[in-house]
Amino acid sequence: MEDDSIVNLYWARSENAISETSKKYGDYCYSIAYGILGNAEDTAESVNDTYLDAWNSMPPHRPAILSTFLGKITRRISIDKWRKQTAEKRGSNEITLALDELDECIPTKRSVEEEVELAELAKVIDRFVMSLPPVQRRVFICRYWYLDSISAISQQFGFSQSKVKMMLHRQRMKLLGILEKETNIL
Amino acid sequence: MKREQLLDAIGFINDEAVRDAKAYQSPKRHYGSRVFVIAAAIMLLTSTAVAAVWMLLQASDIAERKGDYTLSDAFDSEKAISINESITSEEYTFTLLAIVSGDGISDYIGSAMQRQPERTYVVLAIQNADGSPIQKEDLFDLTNNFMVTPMIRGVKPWVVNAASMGGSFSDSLVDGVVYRLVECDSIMIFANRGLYLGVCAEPFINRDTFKFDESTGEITVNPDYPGASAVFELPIDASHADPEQAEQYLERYEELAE
Repeated sequence: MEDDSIVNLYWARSENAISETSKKYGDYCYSIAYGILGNAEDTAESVNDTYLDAWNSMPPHRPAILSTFLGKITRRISIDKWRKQTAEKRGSNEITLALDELDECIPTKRSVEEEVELAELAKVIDRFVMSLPPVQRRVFICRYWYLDSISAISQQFGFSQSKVKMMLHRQRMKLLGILEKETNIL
Repeated sequence: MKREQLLDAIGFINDEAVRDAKAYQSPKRHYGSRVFVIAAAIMLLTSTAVAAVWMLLQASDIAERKGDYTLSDAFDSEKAISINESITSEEYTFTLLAIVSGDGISDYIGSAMQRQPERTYVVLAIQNADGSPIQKEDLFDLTNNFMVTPMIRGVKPWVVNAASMGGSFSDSLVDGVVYRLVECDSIMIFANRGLYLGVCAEPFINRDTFKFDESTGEITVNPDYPGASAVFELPIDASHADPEQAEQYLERYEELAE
């Protein structure tokens, strides 16, 4: 079913909206949630919560890109769930590894307690990502948006794992430079 | 700032870029798997000489090994043309990996760039045709006695070649394979004429190295050439041509061509 038709089902408050979403984007949402949570039970719960959130969001939303709209919900819900879990115990899944890598991007001049406005930070990150050459941009998004593993990225792009690691390292150093400059303004 | 804030902020990257990242599948990956199947079939049926193609490093890997990350990115970009075509001649197999052209696509700046900032970069792999690894002690001979050069259809190759086009090269020996990275003035302006990459077992090109057909302008391997040689046709879209600039470029060689 076309995305527009699925969105129309949500707007018509038809229960088929959920089953059609699940049919078309269930695997996509599952892979995002699984990358973050690393176990089937929590992943299934996150995906179901995604459908509920989508149901509550449409209307009023009419997303231009349904896949990314759902993916964003899954990512947010799964990260929240992961945070709750790791308040007690930290795992070693992709999100932990990605967070450790992102540590390198934090400007040292700023206190770790100091928070910046999320919306402003998001704008800086978006500008940085969109300034990258297309292949680099895709690799960055796969690693830090989808939280894909290095080996999955190397397979998707046909690069060696060391090349992916090197590319990400250079991107983090570049992002650090930008954040050092820009967060003084934020 | 906390790292988790970064993770949250990354969640707001624009939708189209997020979708594009997941939808992307490397053409190299597909090519690689196709080549793998073909190579495996060849291995089973005939010799092992050609089968090593799929094991070669990519052009971007070679640039990265030289610390040229900008060029590495250029070889990974849509601007690059991935070729992966092999020709065996005498005791060598030559594999043309990729070609990329542009301005500012290398971290290294040479004097030739001041005269002609638009550059072309090509990576060619050289393997022993019998599958044996090339030894470190053979590298010196290969470096000094092999020429790899772009050639232009209709233009005498002994007049216009990498040496006269502000060219330079460097060789890397990796796992028994020599990778030659060649740089010269951009050849894209000649795209509508037809372009080649020539390989020969001598450091300079003379009138007998390749066969130049005066009437058609075609350049082919000279069957009487006493050594390894190969001519690849470069699949460059004619729309990149700039005939006016090409004419101007060639004017400087007119006296030499007489």
